[in-house]
Amino acid sequence: MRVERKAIPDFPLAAVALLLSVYGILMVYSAGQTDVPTVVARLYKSQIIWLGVSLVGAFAISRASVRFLEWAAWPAYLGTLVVLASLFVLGSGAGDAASSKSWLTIGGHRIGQPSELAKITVVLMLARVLASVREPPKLLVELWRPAVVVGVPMVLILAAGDLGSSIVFVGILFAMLFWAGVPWLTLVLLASPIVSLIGASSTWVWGAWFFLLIVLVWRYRPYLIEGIGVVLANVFMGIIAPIIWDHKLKAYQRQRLLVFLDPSSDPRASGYHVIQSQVAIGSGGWLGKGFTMGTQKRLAFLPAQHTDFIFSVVGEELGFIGVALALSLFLVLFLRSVRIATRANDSFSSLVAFGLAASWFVHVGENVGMTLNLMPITGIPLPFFSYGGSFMLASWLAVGILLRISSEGRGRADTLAI
Amino acid sequence: MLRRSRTGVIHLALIAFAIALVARAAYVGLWEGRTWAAHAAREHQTAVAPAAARGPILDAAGRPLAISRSLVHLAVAPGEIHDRAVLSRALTRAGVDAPWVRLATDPHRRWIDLPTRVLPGDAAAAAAIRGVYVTPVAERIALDPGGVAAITGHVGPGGNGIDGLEAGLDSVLRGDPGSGVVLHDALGRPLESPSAPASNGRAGDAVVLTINDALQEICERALADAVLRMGASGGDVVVLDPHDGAILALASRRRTFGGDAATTLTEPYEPGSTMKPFIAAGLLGHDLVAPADVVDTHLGKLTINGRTITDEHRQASMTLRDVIRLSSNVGIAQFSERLSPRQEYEALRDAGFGSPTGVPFPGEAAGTLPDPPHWSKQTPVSLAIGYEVAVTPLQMALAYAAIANGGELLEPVLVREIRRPDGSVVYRRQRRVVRRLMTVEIARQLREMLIATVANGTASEADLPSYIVAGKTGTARRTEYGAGYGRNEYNASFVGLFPGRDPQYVILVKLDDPSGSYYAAKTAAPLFKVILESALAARDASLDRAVLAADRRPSATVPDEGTSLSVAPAVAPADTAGVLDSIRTASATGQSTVVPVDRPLAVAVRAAQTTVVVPDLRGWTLRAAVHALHRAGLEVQLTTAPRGTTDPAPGTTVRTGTVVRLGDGA
Repeated sequence: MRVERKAIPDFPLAAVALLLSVYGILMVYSAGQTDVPTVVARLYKSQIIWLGVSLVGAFAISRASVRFLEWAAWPAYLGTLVVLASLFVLGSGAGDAASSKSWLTIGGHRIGQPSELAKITVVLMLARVLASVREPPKLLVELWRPAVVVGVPMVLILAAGDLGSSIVFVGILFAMLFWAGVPWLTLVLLASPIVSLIGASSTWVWGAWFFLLIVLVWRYRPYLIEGIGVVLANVFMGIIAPIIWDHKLKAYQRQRLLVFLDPSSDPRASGYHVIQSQVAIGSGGWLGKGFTMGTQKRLAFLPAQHTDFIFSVVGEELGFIGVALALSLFLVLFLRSVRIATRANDSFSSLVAFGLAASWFVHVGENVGMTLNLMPITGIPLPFFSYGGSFMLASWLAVGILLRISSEGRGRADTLAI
Repeated sequence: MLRRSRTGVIHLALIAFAIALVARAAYVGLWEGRTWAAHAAREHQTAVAPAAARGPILDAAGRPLAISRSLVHLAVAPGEIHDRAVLSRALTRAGVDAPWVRLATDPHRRWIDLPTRVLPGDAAAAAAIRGVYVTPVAERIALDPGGVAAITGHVGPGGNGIDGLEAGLDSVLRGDPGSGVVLHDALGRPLESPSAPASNGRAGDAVVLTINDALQEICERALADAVLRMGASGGDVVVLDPHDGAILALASRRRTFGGDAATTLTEPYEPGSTMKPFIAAGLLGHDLVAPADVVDTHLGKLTINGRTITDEHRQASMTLRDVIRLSSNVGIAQFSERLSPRQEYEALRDAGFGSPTGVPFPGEAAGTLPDPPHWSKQTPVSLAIGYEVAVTPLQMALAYAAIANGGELLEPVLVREIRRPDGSVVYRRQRRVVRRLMTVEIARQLREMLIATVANGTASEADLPSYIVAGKTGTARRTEYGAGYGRNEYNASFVGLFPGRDPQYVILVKLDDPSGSYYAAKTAAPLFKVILESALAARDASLDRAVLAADRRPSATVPDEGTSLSVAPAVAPADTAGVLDSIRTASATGQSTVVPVDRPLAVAVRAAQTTVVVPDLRGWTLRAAVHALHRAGLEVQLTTAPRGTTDPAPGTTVRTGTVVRLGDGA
């Protein structure tokens, strides 16, 4: 089927993505400017090269029609699963996440992090599955296919030790189900075991939640088996939560959660990142200490300043103004992506656009939230900012796909509106 | 298909979340900003106290006795070293021993503290290497490693005085370390950028002692020689200026531990007959005896309270004058019975016995003087002949200083001045009188008795042909701990006043357990004489030559010392003999002259003290070089240049008082 395509691409989206990338590369450069130079000092060069590669990739994928992407979703998804599975053999850790195996390594060369590209293929696959039904799923049992599509790669990535990326998949799943029109209540029930898992830390909280759940199940009037399944799942989560806490979570993961609640409980070790990040952002004030002049970064107090905590460098050196500027650019990116999703020609396109935006949103929300101690620490990068080739490429492939969807969608693509 | 309403929800959610993040960023960055900024500053600043330069200890003439110099301590983290060959060369150049160089370049080691302390200049190459850690340390050098070091004391590795004046005056010498701030990164590496102002500390003050270095050296040499020659187990010498109580020399020597203990201040002894003049002073002061009063001395043997005491010079009767002159135990014992125990006790207590003198030396001994309730029947007689009382050599010398100066017991002066590094005087010790011990007249009478003692009494060995000398011998049996009095062990002491009528010196010499003749007249008195003669021959021995000239005995002929060389060769220290021989006062015309000697050395000192030629000091020991420069009237500052080099260069004519930078490097 031939789809009419507008000649003018979505200029505002491309512009904001490019602005974010340039901003990001400047910050990667600044992150390397420490008093005692480290290897980070050279990384901005490779980030520039990666941006070039990413722009080419974005242009190439924007040449592919949405129908082609829909067709390619299956093979791309299967290929992703194969690559993720191969990490058990070929994976290796890197940098701060040295214990994980999320890097695809061939012949000693680290190729990249497949989980970044997996986010795109999962979005495509999930969109394809959700778009294939005429009516949005209403019942929990109808959600088994989306759950499997997201669950399999997520488990593989979790198994490779990358907790942060797997959380992104949960975000993508819920966002796309929501966008597909799944009823609120169904989403709440789907999420209920997760709430149970978290709420189990306190018997009272869990008890209150369980009571609410019974009421919700009553209102929802599911099939008997569904209702029993939801309740049992919650009970099960409530039971295993302490077991997971005690045995399954690694010590550092437990510490991170505790430290999120009270960073000063362990200021030298687990709380160090959070405190240093706040010290950097907090000491930046209104206008910051000046580009490349951040003392916390220069004096190596700020950890992972070119990757997970690059936003702290923004806060320290460019102050609240720099933070607000970056967040504004991200907000524009999200709003523009949502606009593309609302104006897309068909369900698949719309769901893809929304899924990609959701993926960015989870990244930005979690990463920035983490640097401001709004979120617990998970090693999750900031799109367009954090140093990393795979992620830059994945982000720009998403931009390319969005541009394509935009150009096939309704209305003038370059209209400045949300 | 999608519901439009959900777009609104999404927009709301996005904007709400954006607001949440921005609000949080504003809270952290703006509201809490000061707190976090303070946290940041605290994190990369460490208050440091750069150790202030320790003030020097100088002798009365400003010659340094103890000075500090800056060295560096090197430590190596072998794991951080990139090029081991470069490090190896740099460390070798800094003078680190080969085994330590090997250890420092051993990559299996984590941290090596090198034991050698290195001059900063020598360590510069090594310090520039990453992985080499440099800590500045100050080294204290006692330029006179002899007896003065026992007084000045020592400085511990932390730069704090641990004994002697270094400890007693630590707060003065130490200075103010100042308050600096060092910026460092998360790994503790100090940084140059961006710098924080550091307030430099104030260097320690210079302590000027009353010690006369030349006289001190004379005393040490003479004492060491006497101890060796007489087979004594040790000895002490104190030289005081009786007018102001200034301690001019304190020499100690013990067979067991050499000269490195200030036993003149810390080790009391039973004085014996040197105590008699203070009993006499008490008798005269209470008008109980006149100098010409006669006492029956029982032909030198008398039993009092069951104890028999004897005299060396046996006579049937003696005047008080003769009792002192001939040191009659029987005589003084009988005279002393005229004093009540309280009067006798007070006579000795007022002379300062049994109380610390107040010299700023940690660990000064008070000695012992029992008060009457603790006396036995024999105590009054024992005290009169200098037993049952223990005094330090300094206490005894101070008591004699009272006789010398007209009756005033003085607080001893060891620290003459304290000067700021810029030279301004912040403290000058004034003459301090403790009490009047006797009237001027009694003091004069006692001086006459002591003159007679030297002229034709027990101390004739101390007499000089050219000057009148006063003095008193003392020979006392030594006690041993837990064993009572030793059978043949004696303290032989002599306290002399010079010149006898208007004394400028009080010299106490004491020899512990000399073999052969143990009588002070044969041991301590000759030592006194040697010291006195050497001091008279020395150029600067704190003597007022003009007054002295008036005191000279008209009958005697003495060599004209005004034009002769400064120090008698007999007492010149071995390592400075070359310097001393080469330093001769030049003609009084005021021209600089270079006097070549057999060594490649030329030092010329101009008598008019205006210009001096800087000597060539290559090949000299540090001590000898510093001495040579000081004797030439120059100030010395040690540098890291090669040993013996000077700035200005040798041969340059400079003003006296010029600071010469003397190299003390490798």
